Amino acid sequence: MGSNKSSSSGFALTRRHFTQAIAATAAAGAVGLPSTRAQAATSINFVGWQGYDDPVAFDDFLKSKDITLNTTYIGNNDEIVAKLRGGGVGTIDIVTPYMGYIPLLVKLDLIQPIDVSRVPNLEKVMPIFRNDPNINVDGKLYGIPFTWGGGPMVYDPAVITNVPTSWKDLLKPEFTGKVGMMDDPLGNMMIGALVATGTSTPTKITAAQLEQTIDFLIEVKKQSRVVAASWGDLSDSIARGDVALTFNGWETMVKFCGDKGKVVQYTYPIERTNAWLDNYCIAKDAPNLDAAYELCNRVISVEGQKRLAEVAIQAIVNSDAVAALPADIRSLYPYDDIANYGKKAGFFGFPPVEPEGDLTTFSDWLKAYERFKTA
Amino acid sequence: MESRSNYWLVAPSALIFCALFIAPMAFFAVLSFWQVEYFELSTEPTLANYRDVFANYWRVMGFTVVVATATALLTTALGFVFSFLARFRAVEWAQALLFIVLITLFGGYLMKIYAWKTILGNEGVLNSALLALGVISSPITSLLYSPQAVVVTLMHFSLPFAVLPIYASMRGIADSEVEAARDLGAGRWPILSTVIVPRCQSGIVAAFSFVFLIVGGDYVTPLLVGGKLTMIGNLIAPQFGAQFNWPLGAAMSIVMLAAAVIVIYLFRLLVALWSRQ
Amino acid sequence: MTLQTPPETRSKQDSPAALLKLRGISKRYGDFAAVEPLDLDIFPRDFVAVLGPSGCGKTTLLRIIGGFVSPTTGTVEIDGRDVTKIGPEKRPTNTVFQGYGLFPHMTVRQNVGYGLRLQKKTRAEIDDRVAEALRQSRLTEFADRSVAALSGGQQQRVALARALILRPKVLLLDEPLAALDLKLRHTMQDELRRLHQEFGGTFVFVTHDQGEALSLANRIAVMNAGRIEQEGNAESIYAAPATRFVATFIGDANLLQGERHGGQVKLEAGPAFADAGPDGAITAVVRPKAVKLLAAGEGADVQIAGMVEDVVYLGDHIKCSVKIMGEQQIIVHLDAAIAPRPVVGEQVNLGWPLLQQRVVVA
Ligand SMILES: Nc1ncnc2c1ncn2[C@@H]1O[C@H](COP(=O)(O)OP(=O)(O)O)[C@@H](O)[C@H]1O
Ligand SMILES: [Mg+2]
Repeated sequence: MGSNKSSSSGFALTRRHFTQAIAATAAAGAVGLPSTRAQAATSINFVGWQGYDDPVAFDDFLKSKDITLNTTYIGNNDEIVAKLRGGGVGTIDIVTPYMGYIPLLVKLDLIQPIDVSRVPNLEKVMPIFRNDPNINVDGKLYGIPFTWGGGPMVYDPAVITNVPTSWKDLLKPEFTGKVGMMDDPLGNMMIGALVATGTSTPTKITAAQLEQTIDFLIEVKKQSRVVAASWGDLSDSIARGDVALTFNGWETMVKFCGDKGKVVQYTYPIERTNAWLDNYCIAKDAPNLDAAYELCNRVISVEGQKRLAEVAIQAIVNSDAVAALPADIRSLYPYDDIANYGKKAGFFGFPPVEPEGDLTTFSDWLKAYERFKTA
Repeated sequence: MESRSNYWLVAPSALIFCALFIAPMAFFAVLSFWQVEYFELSTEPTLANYRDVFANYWRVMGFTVVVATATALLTTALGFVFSFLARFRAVEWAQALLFIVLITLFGGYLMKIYAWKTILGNEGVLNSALLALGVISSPITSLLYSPQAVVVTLMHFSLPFAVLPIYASMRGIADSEVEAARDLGAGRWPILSTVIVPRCQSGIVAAFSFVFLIVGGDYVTPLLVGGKLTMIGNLIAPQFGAQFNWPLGAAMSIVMLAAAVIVIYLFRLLVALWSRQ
Repeated sequence: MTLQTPPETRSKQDSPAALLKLRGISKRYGDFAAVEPLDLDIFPRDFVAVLGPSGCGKTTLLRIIGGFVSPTTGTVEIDGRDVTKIGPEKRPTNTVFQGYGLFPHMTVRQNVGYGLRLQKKTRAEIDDRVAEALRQSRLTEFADRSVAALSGGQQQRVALARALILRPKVLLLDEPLAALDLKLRHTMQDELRRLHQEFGGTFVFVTHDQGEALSLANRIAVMNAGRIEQEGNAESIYAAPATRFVATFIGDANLLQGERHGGQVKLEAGPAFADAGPDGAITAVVRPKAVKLLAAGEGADVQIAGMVEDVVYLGDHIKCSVKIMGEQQIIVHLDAAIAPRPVVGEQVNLGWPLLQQRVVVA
């Protein structure tokens, strides 16, 4: 779950699953509690999104390895940076950044490279994720990719017969008032940059291109009825018939809408869309390195990945786990043609955080996004 | 001697008041003069945040003040009518009416929002009913995702906060006051305007203030039923989240708070002017 | 049955037309009758007390007159006009409520001027009349205070001034003195009498205190269980109670049960005498002051023998309880200077003249 899916209630939905799952685990774990107490366990410090601890924590894996998990949940990726810089190095073991943040974390010397020999399950991770340039810095792997997603255009096939092929089609009069936008700054601006400036690296744009991007987003906003607060909300709007197609979407919306009794489909417009990849990273000077590697390997194991796909409805990276998924869950994501996913979506990463030539920074983006918000 | 010991008696509550209200405000005030650069807080005092607020956010802030004022006026009026009925017209039902108002507080905030989505949506209760009755031929799409939807939802949510203070102050009006006014020649309207409203001044102002502050600081309702609507809360909240710019968020909050204080003060003045004998 | 009725100061026949006429007025709340059908006439310049125990319907009756309660049956007529269907805001009456109903958000001056402001009088007239009313009520120095800062008696004066300034044809007062302490009550009684005289209007007030009724009112209507049992001037009601209830409610009274047959009354306690009236159970009423201790050989219209049970010196008189036949008791008020005083256990003869005795049915 990258920064783009972070504040979503799609997330809230998955969080509900997680909470149930965690409660069940706690109940089961309580029985064996006294015996584990007797030994000195390794206590691992985990800083990440709520739910991202579940694939390693849901069963008795941690207990068998004599590891206890000390989790700190984050509200955005910046908190990972802030926590590590604010005295976290040396105490934090695992962080779960969006791949776009990894170059920054490396540059700031906050995470350490992965010794791939200690993570045998990486063999099963599909190359498109394993080889993502964001997580491979100077030839070294810095993150264990374990879940991903993209931003296709979601539509209601009962209403939309003339399915758009370009994001620009949303501006057609026939779609006026039928569009639902997602309030997702990074995702919207990256797609907006792809469409409005024709760039193939939407994270590297100038101030003028940023203006063009925002102008385009405002055009789309004029076509929209709603700028939804969360994925759950956007799904709700489609399910209720208030909107019929979306700007920026998420493959998982098929499931959310399906749960509300609405059949929707998605398409990847010709300009492509953005995609995200979330990772387990090992913090610099992690005090429990061995246990951290255990977790890294576990999160991409078949068991952990199936758990993630079946309970949280997240897209996964382990090809063996994908093969073992039930058909309905498998069909939510374009696993079958995953090698060509790059033609549909790009793992673009993140705009510069600090000034870099005439390129706009992330804070420039957020500032510019407010013009869209208040338009 | 005696007064000094009395001061000591209020010391604990003064401490709690400071800890709960003054300290966070002071923290915000100080924070608003700082700046964040690349994840680092710079404590060099600056007015940049305030300049930013007045340059870039005044429109949204103005819009928020308008929505909050309208909602607060409507809700206060509704709360007044409701309290009036409970206190003077349907006295036997007063307990039941107040109970209903209170119970809606337990429903929670999101439940009310989703209830209104269900009512106002394209395939919602209202549109379906109007369609079925033949009043309209296609759904009125502007019901949901509009400023009106935000106002209605916030009115529903904040009504108890308006009813309670107004009803409490109406309870303070003795029946004999109202009867005396009638006896001295006052009809319905003069009774309302020269006795009941002036006697409820504090309740009315409290109701208005509660609702104004609830609406002024809200960012969930515009997100969920406002469609494309942005209120200042929607721009403040991300400063404390994704944007990670607490100082700007603090400056925005403080300017908004000042605006609220001014509007509430003006409203208070208006009510006092009305109540002047 | 009546041997002597004290003269009425005024009777319905020889007086000018009644200012306030209640005809067949009653009020029911569901099955409960707060006021039974009744008639009442009140004349100009009367100071009328509606006197009765708590819950007898006094306030209800007063509120019917003021227009706050609409009667179940009957009509209210004031100065020749039927006002039954007219609300209090349009009636020529004003009320001093039991809790006064002052407006706490206004000063004394604003309270007093409220009615005139509603009448849209000119500023000058309002100022003049308010100043005059404040002066009359001795409130001038409090004029600009908040009413909440006043004492009970001062608040009462404000309520009076606020009502009287509108020159009502009838001023209604609900238990006007009940909330005041004893000393203040006496002062306010004088005040009310003075205002009644100066103002020259018609006052109707409700009270459960017979002393208040006797000392203030020139006419008293005694109410019991929704009925007016007797109406007349204070003397006639004291001297000639029409019912057993009136007799007991006003002043102390000795009650003696008896039976009447063909104009002959026989009391259970012994004595018999002639008294015209229907056959059946009667009660003979005699005030303690009317009862004499008979000297040996002295006679009286009605005589009873008994034994002194208790003697209490009360300053202006001596209260003596005498036990008579059938475990009954007679209270006698003796002159404080009597000598020798009766002593407990002494056998005495009591007696009184028929003229000082009242025989009522049941
Ligand atoms: N609004 C009402 N509803 C029902 N009963 C009432 C109402 N007002 C008065 N009563 C009843 O009528 C009776 C007379 O009341 P009230 O006139 O106030 O008595 P008083 O003034 O003599 O004490 C009481 O028993 C009272 O309970
Ligand atoms: Mg009463």
